[in-house]
This record gives sequence, structure tokens and C-alpha cells, in this order.
Amino acid sequence: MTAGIRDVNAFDDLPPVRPAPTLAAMLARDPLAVGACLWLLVVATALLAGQTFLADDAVRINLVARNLAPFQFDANWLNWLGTDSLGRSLVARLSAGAGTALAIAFAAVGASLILGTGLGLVAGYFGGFAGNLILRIADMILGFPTLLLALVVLYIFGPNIFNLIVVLAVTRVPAYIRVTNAEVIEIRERLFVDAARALGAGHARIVFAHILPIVAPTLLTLASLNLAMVMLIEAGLSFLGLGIQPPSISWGLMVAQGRSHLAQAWWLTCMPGLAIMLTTMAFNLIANWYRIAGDPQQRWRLAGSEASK
Amino acid sequence: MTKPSVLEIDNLQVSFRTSGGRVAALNGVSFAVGQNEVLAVLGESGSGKSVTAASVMGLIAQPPGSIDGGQIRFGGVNLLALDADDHRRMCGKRVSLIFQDALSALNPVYPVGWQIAEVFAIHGMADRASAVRHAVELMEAVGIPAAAERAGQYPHQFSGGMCQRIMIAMAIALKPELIIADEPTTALDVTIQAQIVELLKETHAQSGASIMLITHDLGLVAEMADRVVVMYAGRVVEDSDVYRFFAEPLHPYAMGLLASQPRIDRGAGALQPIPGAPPNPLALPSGCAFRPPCPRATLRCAEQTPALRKLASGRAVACHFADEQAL
Amino acid sequence: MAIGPIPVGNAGPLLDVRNLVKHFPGRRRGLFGAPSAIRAVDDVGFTLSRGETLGVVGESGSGKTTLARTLLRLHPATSGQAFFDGEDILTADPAALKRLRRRMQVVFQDPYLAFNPRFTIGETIAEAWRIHFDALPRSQWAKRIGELLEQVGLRADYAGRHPHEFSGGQRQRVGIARALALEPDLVICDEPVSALDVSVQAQVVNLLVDIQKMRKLSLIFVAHDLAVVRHISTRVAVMYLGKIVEIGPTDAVFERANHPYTQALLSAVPVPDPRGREQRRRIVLQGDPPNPASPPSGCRFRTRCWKAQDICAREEPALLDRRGTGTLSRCLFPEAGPTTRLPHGQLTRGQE
Repeated sequence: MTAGIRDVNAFDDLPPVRPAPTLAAMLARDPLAVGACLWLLVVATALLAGQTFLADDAVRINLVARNLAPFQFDANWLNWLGTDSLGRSLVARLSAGAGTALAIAFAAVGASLILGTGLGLVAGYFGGFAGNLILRIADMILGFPTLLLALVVLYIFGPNIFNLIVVLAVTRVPAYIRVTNAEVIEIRERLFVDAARALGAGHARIVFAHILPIVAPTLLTLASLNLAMVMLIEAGLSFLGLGIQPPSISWGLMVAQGRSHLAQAWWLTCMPGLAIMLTTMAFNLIANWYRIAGDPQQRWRLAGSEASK
Repeated sequence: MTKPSVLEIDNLQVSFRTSGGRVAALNGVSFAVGQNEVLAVLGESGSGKSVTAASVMGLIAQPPGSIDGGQIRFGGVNLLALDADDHRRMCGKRVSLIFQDALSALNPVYPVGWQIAEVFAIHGMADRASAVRHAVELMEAVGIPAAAERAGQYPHQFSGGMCQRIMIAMAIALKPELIIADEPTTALDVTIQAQIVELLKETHAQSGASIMLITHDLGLVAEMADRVVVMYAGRVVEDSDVYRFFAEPLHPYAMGLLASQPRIDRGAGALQPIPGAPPNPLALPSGCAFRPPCPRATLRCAEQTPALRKLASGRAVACHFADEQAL
Repeated sequence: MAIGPIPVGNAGPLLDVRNLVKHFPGRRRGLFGAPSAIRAVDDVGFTLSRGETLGVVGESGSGKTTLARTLLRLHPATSGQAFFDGEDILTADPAALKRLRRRMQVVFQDPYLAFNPRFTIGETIAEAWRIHFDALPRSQWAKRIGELLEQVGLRADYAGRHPHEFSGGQRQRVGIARALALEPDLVICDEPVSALDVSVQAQVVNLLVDIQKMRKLSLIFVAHDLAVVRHISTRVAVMYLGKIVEIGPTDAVFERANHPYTQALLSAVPVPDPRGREQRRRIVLQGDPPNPASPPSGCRFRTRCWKAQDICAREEPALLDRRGTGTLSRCLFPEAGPTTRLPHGQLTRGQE
């Protein structure tokens, strides 16, 4: 059936196929990403425990064991990370707070990621009046101090978790719009997008099959950084009494509550602070790993040693 | 070949460190540029022709590059034995370079007249006023209309062909003994190419400088060169005067190259491409690099790398089996 | 000129382009001035028969690539019509356009940018069937990808590889395979070999010629390399500043060029043969092409033409067969005699 074609199979000199590394294999080649995964596993376990058998311990007052310092491993394991001024176990409180902290952070970041990416795609891909409008609104939100906006809104509508998530999401949306818009404008003009259009691809296919996968790693990195920012803003709002309301527990609220005891009991602030830091770092490392693992041209860096001759 | 040579390259070896390992770009390149000669260095991408030019000019960044051996003799001095500054000082005055992409080789924030004048200033050749006057004269000499006014304009205000003329003006400013022209017409349109070729020919006739023409364009070689050095995979495979080269190429690669070239003076008829893919510098075959697609290859080609042999006629070829027919 | 669509069927030409115009907005003159239009393609018309290869040559700024992209409707036309088998590409609604695109494909110039770096080449080829889901049942995709790759001289088992693993020539073969996936009637090639080395270029040219013959494809081959165009085309159109200045059968255009620009273009191409080069005379045009935002009045070539007279500034020559040779040209003073080089490269006529 290939009659009439000259020099068929003239090309057989490509180096042998390197077996495409599996995700697990690529993960194993990046120790930092492995560490990040292990930490997230710890957080997930704590989160589950905090919602179940540690839920009571988190609020059990024990005046005998007030302000116990951490790392006293001969004591009850619940007190290994210390206790607060009412003798409540920090292990239990951190576990219980993980749920609220992560739920708020994920909901806010997820909502802003989806909304911002969507609007950014529209603005970058279609442009025009709608695109300009989106960008101007994004600029307006960016120009407004986040904390001030949050204060006003939460003061007016009341400080509950839903309002908190909405406020945090809205203030983070412009970053995604800006980044997505800029990248889409560049990718939209690439030749392979024209190639897809010439094949008859519709807008949906071009956006979701060709443009979004290339923008995604950048957006995920941004989202991982935003997780930290959102948790810290939540801490600030809680400190001002407009965030999570006691007796609910959250890492941000714990940081805020601990501040007044900083001189006597540093662990009350530092432990939840550390939890926030490690968790966001873990997401960041995984986002970085994904940036390489998801790119066929970079993937070889995470392939086995025989490929990196 | 009785003329003395201005530039002699002897067994030059250059390699680069890459993510895939150390890659040899030049595997022992030897040729000479005669006085008042136009020598074409002909090769396709990856052949090493541009690395050769960069080595002469001292423009190989080390690392990632490294010059592993050989000599480049210019004016009786081995340039590779000089330190980088002396090398460049020597070259700046007596060797000049014309780039493929003239627009990006010119500084966008200075007027072109100023940039030409700067060539004199760098070498302390003239005071500012006479340098500018020289610059305008040079612009006239390379055919830029209204040179006096245009000397105050910036590179982006000139077309590609005009930028190339300005490059040529800068190249001949110091009356060099050797001009290295790296793909001087590749980025230009056909009718502009013709203008630049004419200008290069005139420049050569008037200045008497030798020209080393780095190119992949067989047409340009046929148009301008006295002699041609064919490079393949970092080696010289043929070194021949231009008339005999086109009439009877000796190396199988040169034959393949000529047969694969579509010609405007001939109608349809199958092109004869060189089969297979160009050599992968990371995995060159043993022996002769052209062995895989070569119709003449035998076991000997795999075992023994053919050396560049001088033939009775003065031509040289690096093939075990190439020989001149009675011509 | 009759405007109605031509009858559908094998009788008429496959592609009938009429008065095609594409203007790009240019720079605004002053604060209140109207933006000047860059007339990239200005009143271009031609027809293309089934199985024919039309070469479109011109220098940068001639509008040849814009013409290709406008015909593919990668950007909208300013005015004009382009009937593909009787249906106007330029005004087709989305559904009709999608139908048309199935029969009309493209090979781009830069093999490094024309592929999504995240797709394997198998996925790249299969995208055509993903978009036109009724074109080929999914169960046959893998087999067909292998067949297409083998047809363009690549091994079937390369389907799982990514574009960056291939050389330029190999990628261009993948580009051809992608263009063939929907079994189109027309393939528009935009400078398909100009990024390739000579020895590889010949492979891709041969491949295009073979596939064109085997599948009875119509080809539009846009290029600046006249030698390649001569080799591959049955007819040639020469463009200058957005206009076709000459169009006709390849040999007629190359051997008896009517238009002075065509002559200059042909004579400017260096011939890879040094014999007689000292005697060879060539037409060296003076100066650069004018700015397409403000082309000269009358004949656009007159500013660089050695034959130009007063009338050339007043009157724009129509595209006519002026010598009865089947070659249409836009010149009031067309050449009469043969203009080609003799086998040894001497030009029989040249500039004085």
C-alpha cells in the first residue's frame, strides 16, 4: 500500500524508546517530593483522627496539665507537642484544627483557581470587550488591600465560614486571571494551535486540549503558594475576631490565640505556624515536581539513571 | 594553491558539554585560506562550519565549549596560544566578521553611523570627527543612498538588506586581511541576496581581502567561491577548487548534496536525497560518519576513519574509495 | 465577473478564488488619523484543478503566507470569495467550515512549533479523528496511525514518541501524516521545506510529490525557494506586494517569464554551477520592496522596474494573457522572448 513512495523507512535511527517512567518511579526520583507526600500523609491521618477519636480530646480541659512544654516524651502522647493554658492537648487541637484550616484553604484556593482560570481563559482567548472588562475588574480587586476588603465584608455579612471562604476566594481571583490571561495570549498564537484550528477543532477543544494543559503547571504552583497565603490571612482575620469563631478550632485561629502567650508558651503559636508552613511547602514541592513530571520534554530528568548518561 | 595562505587551521578539535554528554563538534579540521581567495566552507546544520568560524574569532565560550587541540595560525601566530584578550585584539583589526542576522548584530540603541565610527574609535584609528566622516564614506561605498542623512538613523529603520550592507561597511572599515562571512545572505530575500552577492564580489575585488564564506547554499558557493571546503559531522570531507567540485565532486556526501539540490534551470525530475537522517553528533557511527547512507561503504569504512588525502590535482578528499576520473 | 458559485462536481475547479482581499490594520498616523491598512493580499484570484500543484512564490511581504492562512480561514478575509467545490470557504458557517476543513489540510513551515509538545505524535495524528468523530472508528485509530507513519517513511512504532525526539525532517513528515489523516482533497503547504537542510529538504519534497500523485491531491505550495517550486509545481503564481503579478504553467513562467519582476526573481537565484559565472548577467533590482501600507500607484512594481514609464504610475495593469501563452501577467510591457538561463547559466537577456 505504500507503493510509489520513495525512501520508505529511511529513518530508523532514533535511539531506542525509553520506557515512559511511571508516576511512582518519577516521584521516587525526587526525594523532596517524596518527603512532601509523607508529610501530607501525616496531615491526612491527623485530619481523620481530629474528626473522630481526637475530637473530644481537643476540647477537654485539664487544669493539672496547663502550659506543658512540648517534647516531653515520658508524658501522655497527647501532650508530646505541649498543652495550652487550659491544659488542652496540642496534638489533638492541631488535628482537629487541620480539618477547618485545610477545608477553608482548599475551598478558597480551589474556588479562586477555577473562577480565575476560567475568566482568564475567556479574557486571553476571546479578548474583546468582555476580556477587557474582566481584566479591569481584576485590577480593581488587586488594587484594594485584601485584609481591608475582608474586614468590611465580614463585618457587614457576619463572620461565618462560608463568608470567609467567599472573601478569601474573591481576593485571590485576580492573580489567576492575570497569569492565565498572559499565558493564553502567548500560547494562542502558537503554530500548533493554528494546526488544530485547521483540523477543524472548536474553541472548547483548543482551550481544554491545547492551551489549558500548558498553563496548568504555572497555575498549580501559584495555587500552592496561595494556600499558605490564605491560611495566614485566615489567621489574621481570626486574630481580629472576624475569622473562625471559638470554640471552633483552626490552625490560623490557634496562631492568633497563642500570640498573647508567646512569651510563656511559644509552642502555642509555633506549632500551628509550623503546620501551616510545612503543609504549604509540601504542596509547593509537589507542584514543582508535577511541572517536570507533566512535561514530556522535561520528564527525562525524573527518569532512571540509565537515561541520564 | 601556490599563493601563501593568510589563515591555516590545523587539526582543530572542539567539543561542547551538553545535557546528553560531551559532544565533539570538530574532529580534527584542517584547511587554509589563501591570500585574496574566496574560500567557501560548505556544510549543513551540525556540520561544524559555524563552530570553525567561531573558533577563529575566539568566540567559543569555554565552558561549555572546549578547544581540545590543534592550531589556528594567522599572520604566523597560533591564535589558540594567545589569551582571550590578545586573540580578540588580533582578530578585531585584521579579521572581521559578517553575521547572518545583521539586524540583531547591530546595537538597536545607537545610530548606525555612530556604530561604524566606533570601529575606528575602538582601535584608536581616528578622532571622532574624521571617524564619522569615514563612516559616511563607507556607507556610500556599500551602496546606502543618502548616506549622510541615514548615518543618524537607527538599525530598525533599515531593511534587512540595508542592515547587511552596514555590516559589510563595518567589516571592511579596518581593511582586514580576512573577512569571515557567516551565512551572509541566508536571512535575505532572493532579489536582496543578489544585491548583497554583487556587493560582496565588489568588496572582494576592491579590497583584496580573503573571504571565508560559511554557507549551506550551493548556489552562493558556485557564484562566489574560488575554492570549497565541504564539512560533514565535524570533519572536512573534501577540499577542492570550485569548478572541479561542481563538475566532479569526489566525496559521496558531496555527490549526494549536489544531487539533492533542486535547480531552477532544470524542470521536474526526481531529486535524489541523501537517504536517512543527518548524523546525530551524540552517536556518530564508528569510522566514517557518512558510512550509513553511503552507497560505497564497506567494512573498511567502519573500521578505519578515512583521512583527508591529497590527490595529485591538489584536491583533497576524505574517502577510502574516492578517486579522480580522468577529466 | 460572474459571482455565483460554480456547479458542484468533478467538472469545475476544486478551488476558485475571486478578488480575495486581506487587510491588516496598520499604524495610526498621528493621534486622530485613521489607521492605514496593510494590504497583505489585494485582489487575488486563481483557480486550482483537481490533482494540480500550484506553487505560490514571492519574497517576504508579498502576501503569500497571508494568502495561505486566509484560504485556511485562520483569520477572516476582508472581502472576496474562495469556492471550494462550490462552497465559499470565507463565509461558511461553523458547521460548514468544519466540513470543509475535513477536505482541506495544511502543512506548516516550522516543524518545531507546529506540534503540541505534550502530545505524542500518535495523539497528534489522531486529533483529526477526535475532532471529526465520524471519520474513523476508534478501534482503527492505532492501525491507521501506523499506516500513515509508514507512508511518510517513519516507523509505525514511533507513534508513542513526542515531537522533541525527532529531527526537523522527521517532524515535517509527521506534519504531512497529520495532514493526510482526514484524506483531504487539498493540502496547503506553507513553506514546508524552508526550515530544512538541502539533503533533508529533497526527501520531504519527494515525499510530497509521491503522495500528491498517489492520492491525486491538489496542492498549494507556498515558498520563497524558486528552485523547489519549479520542481514540484504544475502551475506557478508569482506574488509581489499582495498581488499576483504572473500566473501560468510552470515551464512557461520559468522559461518565458512575462513580468519584469518574475524575470528579476528568476535571474537572482544563484545556480549551483560555477561555469561561465563571469559572463553570466543577472538583473539586480535596486532598492527594497515598498511598504505594503502605502504601495505605489498604478503598477506596484514600477518603483523597482527598469522598464517603467509614466503610464505605469497611472494605470494598474490587469492580470491578462498578453502573449497567448496561457500565462497571465500584470504588465503593460511584457517580455516577448525566452528569458531563461541556458544550461550553462548564461542569461540570454539581462539588465543593461
